[in-house]
Amino acid sequence: MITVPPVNWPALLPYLVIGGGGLVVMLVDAFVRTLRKDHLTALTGLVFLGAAIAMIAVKPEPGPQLGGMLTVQMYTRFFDFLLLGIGLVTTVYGSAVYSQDGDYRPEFYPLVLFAVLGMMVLVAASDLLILFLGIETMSLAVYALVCGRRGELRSSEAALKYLLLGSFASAFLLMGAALLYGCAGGTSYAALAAVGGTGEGGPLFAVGLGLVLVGFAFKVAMVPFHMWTPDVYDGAPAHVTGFMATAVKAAAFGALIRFVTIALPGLAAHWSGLLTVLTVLTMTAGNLLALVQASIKRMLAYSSIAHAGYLLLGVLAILAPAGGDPGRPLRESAVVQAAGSGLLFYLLGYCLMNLAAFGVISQLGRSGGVEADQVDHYRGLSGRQPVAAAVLAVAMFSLAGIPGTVGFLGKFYLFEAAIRAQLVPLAIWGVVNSLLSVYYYLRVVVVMYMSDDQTEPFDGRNWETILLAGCLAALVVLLGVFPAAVHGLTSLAFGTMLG
Amino acid sequence: MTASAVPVLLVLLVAVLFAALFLVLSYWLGPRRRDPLKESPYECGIPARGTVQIRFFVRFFLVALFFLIFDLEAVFLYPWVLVFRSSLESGAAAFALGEMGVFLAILVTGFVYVWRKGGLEWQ
Amino acid sequence: MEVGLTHYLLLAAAVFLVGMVGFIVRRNTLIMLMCVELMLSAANLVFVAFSRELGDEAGHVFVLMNFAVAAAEVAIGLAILMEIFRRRRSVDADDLNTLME
Repeated sequence: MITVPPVNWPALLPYLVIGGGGLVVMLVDAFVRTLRKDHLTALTGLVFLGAAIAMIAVKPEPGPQLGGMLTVQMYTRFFDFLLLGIGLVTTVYGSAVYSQDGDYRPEFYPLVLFAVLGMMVLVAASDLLILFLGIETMSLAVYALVCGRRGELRSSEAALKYLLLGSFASAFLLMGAALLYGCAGGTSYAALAAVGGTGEGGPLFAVGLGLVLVGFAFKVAMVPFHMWTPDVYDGAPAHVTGFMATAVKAAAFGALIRFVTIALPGLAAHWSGLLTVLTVLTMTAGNLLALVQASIKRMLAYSSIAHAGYLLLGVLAILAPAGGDPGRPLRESAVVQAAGSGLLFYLLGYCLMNLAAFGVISQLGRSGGVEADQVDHYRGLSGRQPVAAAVLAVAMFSLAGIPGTVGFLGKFYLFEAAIRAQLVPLAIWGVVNSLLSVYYYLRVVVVMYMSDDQTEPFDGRNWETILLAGCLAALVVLLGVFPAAVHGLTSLAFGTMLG
Repeated sequence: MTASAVPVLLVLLVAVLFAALFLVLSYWLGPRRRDPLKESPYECGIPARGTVQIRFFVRFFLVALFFLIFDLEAVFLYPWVLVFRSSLESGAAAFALGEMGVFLAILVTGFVYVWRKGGLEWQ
Repeated sequence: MEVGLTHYLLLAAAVFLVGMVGFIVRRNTLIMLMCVELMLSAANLVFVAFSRELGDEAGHVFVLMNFAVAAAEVAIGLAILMEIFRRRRSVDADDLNTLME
């Protein structure tokens, strides 16, 4: 006898729009031969906008969906909007790059849509099955996106590396899920919380948990599972790298935060020591290795590892027992609330500044088969392309955490929450690290503004991309000066997840 | 069960030991004189030409890939068939049929895409 | 001797370790992909074993989904591998060095 769980269509509408839209884009690409090249861009953009409008217009009752497989609430909606925005920006960047190159890649558009669908589902997952399917839908689409240039060895190699290590990580995640299923007797987060919340799941439960966390660690590029990051970020086309650095990271962190707070509130007792070590390693290794990179994409790859370290600090602040009292329940703590809303704010800012930076990089075009990759290629960019240089400079200032930008405030909220969670040494180490990072971010700005204009072969210029990146940079500054409204929003969103 | 297995295991062990013993003995004691005629495949076919690693036509590979993907989706049909009868009784048949319809529609979309993109053309 | 949950788990652990060690040791990317498949199969075995032990179908559902995911992963992996092989004539992981600087 099968029973059909009640289906709340309004809550699922955004997912259906994105998924169905992806299929429609595929069919249009396959059947309409006389297509002008930007029709698919427009169609994909419409799908993203349609999903966003569906979320604004239809306000479903928040709560678990499909028999507790997914949860739709303000927290997941926050990530949905963020991911839709990143998808839209990536679509515009990508179509600009492809039209610049004269290399039309129609499969790019459905792949972005499917990747975003996987990410949205991943963040909303309330069950290990959906978590796994979300991660895989996202990853499979991104593997193909990385391989985005036909016949270019660099991107194919990056894709193969990413696929091999990514599927290796998925195997760990799956094995962990299998063990957790066996120990908890079910795959839902609620079943896990019933066992894990008490911290008495037995050794098999602990092993399963460790394996699942290894799977997450790969996706968010946590040291020592970060090895793929520089090569893949470097080999992928810049607009895809931007997508990976922002959307993949945001979705993985969104899911990780939900997973640890909902399924494993009793986690801290067992894992906080190890997580602390990994957090410190991630911050430090990311920053130190970023210092010595000559390639700007590799530098941003290591910087994304460092930023993952700052974000982990926030996760630790959520997990740390409030006021040193391990028995105190998680959800009453104001510290958890501060750390959670800080994390969301930081993720938003991080996505904005990275997208702006990668937009500028992608529109510079290619020369001799490579993108404007070396820091030296940016020599005197301010003379040739003042607007693009200004946008990149704002992004770099924000990544470095200079006051007046969203990057500064994000770090401020995170470190403040860490101090309130009594992780003072870690917070100080975070500040030291971000001071260290100022050097390599500002090096780019110095090269752009203070060196002579050598005639570099990278003279690509795409006004749509620059305009979009400029808007993102403006948001970076705007949120850096007037954060109150958005910070209130992230606070509210995180609150809905705690329930 | 454990006790009754001992004689069987013993027989197995003796058999393996005997086989190993005679292999070693014949290798050790037997004379070996090589000549090309002796090493040719006499009445066992013809001498091999070329390498063993034949390069496969890339189209085979592509078709195999498509087969792998579409074949595996059939795995989802089987459990659905098993529970469909019970859904008739519980009045959820329309829903179950619709779900499978959506699943197959997505699959067909993929197939049509492959077809239109020339993935199935043999040249 | 009754074959019980522990035996399945031990077998799965062995298969998983074989896959993991193979992935780390072998340099042929095709074999590395196969090793990942071994690891996924080990996880499937654990799911089915627990599913039987608990008398719960969720494990079976998970395994079915894994089949599809694993197939998709292999398909994409082989497609990328083919693209590289066409240009490189090698599928050795140590030859994937265009990106190393």
